[in-house]
Amino acid sequence: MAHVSWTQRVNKYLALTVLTLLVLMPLALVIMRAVTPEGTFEGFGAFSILGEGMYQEILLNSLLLGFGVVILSSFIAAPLAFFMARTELGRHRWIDIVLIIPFMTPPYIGAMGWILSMQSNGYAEQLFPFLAPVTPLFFTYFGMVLVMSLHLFPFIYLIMRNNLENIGGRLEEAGLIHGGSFGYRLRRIVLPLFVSGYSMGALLVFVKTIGEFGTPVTLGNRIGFYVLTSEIHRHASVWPIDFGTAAILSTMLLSVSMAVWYFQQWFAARTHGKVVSGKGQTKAYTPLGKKQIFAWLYLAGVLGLAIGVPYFSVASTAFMDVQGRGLAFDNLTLRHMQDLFTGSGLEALWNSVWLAGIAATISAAIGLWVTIIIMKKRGTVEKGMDFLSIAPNTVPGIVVVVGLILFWNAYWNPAPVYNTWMMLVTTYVVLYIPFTVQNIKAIYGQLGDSLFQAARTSGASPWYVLRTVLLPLILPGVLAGWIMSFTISMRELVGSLILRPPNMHTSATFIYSQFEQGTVAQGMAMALVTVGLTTVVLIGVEKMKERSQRYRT
Amino acid sequence: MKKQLSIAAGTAGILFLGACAQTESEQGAENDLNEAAEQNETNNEEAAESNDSEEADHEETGELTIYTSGPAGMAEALVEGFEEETGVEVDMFQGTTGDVLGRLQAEEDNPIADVVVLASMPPAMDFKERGMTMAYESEYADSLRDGWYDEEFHYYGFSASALGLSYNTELVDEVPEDWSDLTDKQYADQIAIPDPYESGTARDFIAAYVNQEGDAGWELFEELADNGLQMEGANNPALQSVIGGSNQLVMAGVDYMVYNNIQDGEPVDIVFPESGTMVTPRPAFIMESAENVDSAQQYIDYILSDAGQEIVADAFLMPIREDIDVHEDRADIDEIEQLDFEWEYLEENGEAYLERFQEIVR
Repeated sequence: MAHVSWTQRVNKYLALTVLTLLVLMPLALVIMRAVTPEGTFEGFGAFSILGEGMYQEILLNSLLLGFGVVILSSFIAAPLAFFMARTELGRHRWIDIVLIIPFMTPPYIGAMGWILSMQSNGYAEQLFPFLAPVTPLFFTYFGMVLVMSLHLFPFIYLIMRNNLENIGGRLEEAGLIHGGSFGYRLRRIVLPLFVSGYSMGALLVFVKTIGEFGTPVTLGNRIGFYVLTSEIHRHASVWPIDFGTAAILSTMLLSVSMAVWYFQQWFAARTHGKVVSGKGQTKAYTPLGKKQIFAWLYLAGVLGLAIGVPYFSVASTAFMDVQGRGLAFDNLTLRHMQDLFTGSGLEALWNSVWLAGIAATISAAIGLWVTIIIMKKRGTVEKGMDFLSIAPNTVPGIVVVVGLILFWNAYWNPAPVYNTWMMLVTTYVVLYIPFTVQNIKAIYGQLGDSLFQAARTSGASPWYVLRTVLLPLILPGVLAGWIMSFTISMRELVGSLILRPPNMHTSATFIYSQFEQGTVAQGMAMALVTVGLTTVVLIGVEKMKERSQRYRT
Repeated sequence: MKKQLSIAAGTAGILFLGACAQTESEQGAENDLNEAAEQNETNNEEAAESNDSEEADHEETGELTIYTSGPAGMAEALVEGFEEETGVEVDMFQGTTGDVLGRLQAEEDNPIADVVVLASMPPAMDFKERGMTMAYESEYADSLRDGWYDEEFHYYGFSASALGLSYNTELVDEVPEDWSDLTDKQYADQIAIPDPYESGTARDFIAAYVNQEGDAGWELFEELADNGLQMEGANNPALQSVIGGSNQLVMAGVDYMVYNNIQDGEPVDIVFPESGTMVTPRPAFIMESAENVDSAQQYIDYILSDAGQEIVADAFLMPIREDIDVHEDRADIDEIEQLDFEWEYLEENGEAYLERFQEIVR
């Protein structure tokens, strides 16, 4: 496009402004705070702590964890994506929803569940005493990688599966006709097309892992495996509080994430596979026949580890009368559930539902808006916007939260948002814009130009093209982004904990405060109910998504 | 929300649009960052001036904002009782001491809280030193326990917990009587302590114990580490590990949680060591920046009043008033041997000792 109309330009800068306000300002203020702890600029000397051996070790730990989780979760997700996109299993859409459950589980709950199972005299030993020699292995680096991979693999899985579905059958059929073997087709056709989408998923999981704090704090601190996030969290929440050091450590995380992001961009640009064209799609299909049983067994194994183990602990704790008596049928009670619904728990749960609903809708809308702009043209501004839209995901929640306070509670900020429920919505939107943007981008990136050219040749206005061609094609991405934002907003902890207005609890803060100061059983009961409710909402949205995709078949 | 965004966009945003237009479309995200930084600097300066002039007149907003640490039931009961008695509406933010301190720190430039309640003394002392607290002499000041409140009436440790040895009654055959008993092999690899990084009380205990015992204190920690002492998260998670049976006992855990669990029928109990333990008052204070000073003072009076102190006692904490009895099911303050320590010593050495302790136990 040679000329850009002024409406497009205004549109672009408006989007940039929104991202600046939501993302750049808070993060910039945190960095400001790092170099001007007492209000005056003290130079970059504060950054010298990064050279200390202790922090280098912590950085190394973070990287090790990131790579470990990317590798393991890819291995978990790849077969599943193949089964669901290409075989009989794909007809069972409920599997998709079940596979998202691990991701709906708050990380600290998942980690707690595993700890309760694996600790000495834990549930695993109570049920299967012969496991006693194995369980200590869990309290190592590998245990952490396992827990985090089981939590994050749905990410990679969703992206892989969408990707595989879109690659479609035509190209592979062409390969087949020309005598390519299965291995050859996989190597020369599927993988190259697959890899750019996959790299996006891997990036997200890597960044999510090094930015995650629930598991490192619950499990990592216990085994002495410190990473950047747990260190940052310590500086931001333990007396004496030192936001300066927290901010400096955050810049370290931010630069790692930026480097990885840059690498992924370069990589994706080299391999970009535009696979959705105007031609009809045939679906690639590899029936497994009798061999299906192995696919089902694999699925059962993954679900057993990702859902079975942690939820067994969660449910046992939630329905156990006296924790000290352990697993026994006469130790069952509904007491904690009743307390939950008669006490303040119900209100907290309802708060989470509507807050997450609003936040997911706004971030899907902003995500859609921003993505359309950044995918159209790749100028400096667009690149900047692209990075801004993923930046909140590259630093631990606690840092974003501090930035949000510094920005929205500044005396020069006239917007009456801070200390109201709108602050929580803003927080969720900022934290989860990356998910909506990346989900939409993953699908958008696969659209070829032909459909748009066809529409334009036929005389369609840009608005008409947007409405009738682009939106229907990327709707699954938008809905997937909505689902993800909703799911994690429902269980978001750090921001809710610090930014919630007085007198307001959310599901996650309720659980946390039960863990910290109340009855663990009631916290676990809340976790169960929240995940159940989220699942119901997801089923609804998934049905909607299916309906919107009927035209494809 | 959309409306909020457009309001925000209308004010601060215009500055950016202007800036972007000036440099045409080549403007990258980096430049924006610089400009954002510059604008903040000028804004900060302006604010520093306007802040001074605003400080003189405090206007009551009609609602009292309280930032409080737990325990959950007690904080809520106190606020409810206070609202009923005075008719003042309360906005309560409740979290752990870390959450409260984090929020206060982030709001430093534009403070919102009127009253703050923490679970640990040193931060309150530090707030006073930095001139962030407001003195108020309550009518109850005569009947309070010495040492639990500030002599200049800046903060009141209106309730207190003691740290003890909590143990699983089904797993422990021989109940230890003192910290040093834990070096016995029968407890090997089954001893927990709340992670002093996450628990302010455990952190204070370490410094206070060394304050009394000197090098012998460090020797004990080393012997305990050899006997498998483990850090298990904050207070409640550490206690849960004992209830669940993965540890036999937890040292330096707060007592009121144990009493709560005993009430629920869990197999735990607590002893207070002979050589002394720590009693930690939980300070409440009025912020210097408080807007609702009158209702803040009323709140301080309320938590020190008979009604407030009864609520404290019901939560298994020890009341600051000498004339209010502790809960009948818990140990009285006279039955608990206390360590001999100075709060100043804790403030000075807390951090260094914390690191040394971490090195020993890891």
